Amino acid sequence: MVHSELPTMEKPSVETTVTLKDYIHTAWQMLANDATMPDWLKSYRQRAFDRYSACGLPTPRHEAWKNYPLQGLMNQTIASDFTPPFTVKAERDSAFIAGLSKALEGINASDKQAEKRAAFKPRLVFVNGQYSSALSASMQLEKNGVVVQSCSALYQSDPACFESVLSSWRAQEEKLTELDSDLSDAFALLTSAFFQDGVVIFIPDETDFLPVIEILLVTTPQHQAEQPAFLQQFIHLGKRASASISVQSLCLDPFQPVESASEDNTSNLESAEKASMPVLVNRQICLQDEANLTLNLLLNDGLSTRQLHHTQSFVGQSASLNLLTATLSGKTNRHAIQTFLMDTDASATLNGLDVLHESNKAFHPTQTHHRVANTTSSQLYKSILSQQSTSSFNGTVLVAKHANGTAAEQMNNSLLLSEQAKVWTRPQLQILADDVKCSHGATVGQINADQLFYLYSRGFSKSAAKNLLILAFAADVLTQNQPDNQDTASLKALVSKHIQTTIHADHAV
Amino acid sequence: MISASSDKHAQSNSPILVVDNLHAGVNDKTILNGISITVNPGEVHAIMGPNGSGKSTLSKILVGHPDFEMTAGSVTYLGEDLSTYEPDERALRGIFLAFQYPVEIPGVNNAAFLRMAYNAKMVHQGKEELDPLDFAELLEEKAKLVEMDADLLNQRAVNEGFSGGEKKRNEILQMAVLEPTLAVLDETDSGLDIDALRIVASGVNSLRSPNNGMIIVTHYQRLLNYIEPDFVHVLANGKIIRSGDKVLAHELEEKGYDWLLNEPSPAA
Repeated sequence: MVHSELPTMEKPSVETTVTLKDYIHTAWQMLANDATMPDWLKSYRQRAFDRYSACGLPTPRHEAWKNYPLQGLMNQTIASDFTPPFTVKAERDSAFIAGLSKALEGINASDKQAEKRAAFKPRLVFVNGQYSSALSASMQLEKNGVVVQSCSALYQSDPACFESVLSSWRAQEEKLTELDSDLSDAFALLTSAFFQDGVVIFIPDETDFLPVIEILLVTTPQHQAEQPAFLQQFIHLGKRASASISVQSLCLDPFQPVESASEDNTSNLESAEKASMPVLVNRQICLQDEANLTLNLLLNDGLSTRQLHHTQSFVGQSASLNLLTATLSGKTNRHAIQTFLMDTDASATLNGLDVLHESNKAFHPTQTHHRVANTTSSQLYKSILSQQSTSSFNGTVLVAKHANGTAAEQMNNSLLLSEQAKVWTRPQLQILADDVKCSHGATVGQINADQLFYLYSRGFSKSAAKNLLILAFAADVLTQNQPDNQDTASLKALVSKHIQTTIHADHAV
Repeated sequence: MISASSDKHAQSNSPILVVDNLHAGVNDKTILNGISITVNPGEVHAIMGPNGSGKSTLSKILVGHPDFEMTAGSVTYLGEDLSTYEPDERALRGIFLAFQYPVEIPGVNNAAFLRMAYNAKMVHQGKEELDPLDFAELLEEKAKLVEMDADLLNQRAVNEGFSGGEKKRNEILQMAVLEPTLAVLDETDSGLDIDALRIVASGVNSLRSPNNGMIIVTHYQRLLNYIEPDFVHVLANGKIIRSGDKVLAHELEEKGYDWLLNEPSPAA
């Protein structure tokens, strides 16, 4: 009944379909010929596209793309028309928005106290790649210069601010001399060249921004996109500024009661058998001296989606970056992380947790560059894999010549819950300095039988014992370095529920 | 079928545990060759014996460890055939094993673990679960029995990084929280210094009651100075070669196991 009121899907104006390579070509033609685009934006895009042209699309031989199912991505047929950047399409009908809004209420529902503390909680919502101002709560404060906005909105309201964010990024990039193809991620560059929307988060010097900034990438099962979505996320923290950001991809059905559109997204997309279009997100993080950023990325948008995230960060003197990637569902998720520790005492904590089932796959290529003396990095990636799921950790720590006093650790632990589950693990170190403390390691195992029996002997049922041990395996990733806030609490609760409902129910270990 | 009320009756009058002609082993290797023990309410039985005599196998069989197999005989607990129950059901019905080597479980908070175990038992008994605050009160009380630091309870994962003595005290704490009908202490004294031994023993003593029974498996007589057994059984080559009272333990300490192993066993 409700479905009959759905607006018809926008049909592509050109009925032809193309492969990704051709799509890129035509889209660039269109962008390059856009006379309305200001020079600062054009040059940003051009620079990214030139670098993409130099490296080309990846092949399975590229170290960072090993084992990734590139074939499916390259051969996908795409409707050939490219939606111009910052196009503000009319929002869907009110029933759709109201349904989503209701469904969103359940996401990260905060307790009353936390709500009081943070009277205003910025939230930027993208539905099927399109920014929804109706569902979002953005902000631009004249008083202290904080910006939390979509790219499209900021482009309209304050292009000068947008331009300054891009140019400060450019300044960082130019400090690097080796921006060669080895360091380039083709899809990240394409995203920079083509980004149609995204977010700009600008926290000025000396500002502790307390509320957790939420960025939600919502997929609705009824409206499968016919083209890839390119989203850019610019995050800039000034000197001694701090912020917490939560990025979440999720699948919501606006026409389903909230209870069933819950965290378990499995059922939502079962009907959408055909591979959906990739969502590409490029995140450019710039942390000035003594800035402090916590960013949690939760990938949990059902079974048929393909998300390619790339996070590139410049970390300044005594600044710290704290990234957590949690992958709970999604056909093929990839989060490539490239971190440059640019100045003394810069530190980065990169943690990851995959809790996967069915044939979901998650890929985590990371590059951590210790470029100067006395920088610190720590990586802890854990995966819990049931059924035919797959996880890959391909991490490299690169210690530059003269970067003495570097402390770097890298650990990848995997728990395989079925005989079909698969893990690739490659923790790597490339050290050109003499006086460093670096460690790397990996473990792959199963649930410990002694621990299980110990729990049975204390009256824990088989399923309760397994749940507890699986959760315990994940525990340190979710607690280490995590701020004690609502975002962390709800992430923990979500992972716990996912383990209980999806992982355990799916598979008798 | 035994109803709840007759359960209670069984606890007060009939034996808690009857082990009859128990044969058991691991990986097709026979370790126990016909053991019989009866534990009545209020009794403490000590099982002594040299290495490899089958002491630990007996405790593993009682709690249903999957690696150990009963090949003949029977074990009756509160009037019911124990072999039909899974390990977790045995625990819920009141059997508790204090492990010789308590297992570390990183990532599981000790106090939370104790509460979950306690509440599982409450649910099994049809009683109400305790919320974290009420349980913390109960736990504080119980922790005094074994002089356990609050830090080990609230800040640490189960047994993770605990010293040998702390692990054993944690076992006795679990026993205090779960209030078993039958407690099996598997070499609880091993690896304990004198102070820890005293603390553990006084914890165990305070848990003795006319309603429960205990089996204390040990190498040495030392623990029995602190926990006085009603019966002492000497196990060798999978058989009980001598049973007696606490005097037997003293004799063993003096003369060594060879004393019994070398003489023909008298009729039990």
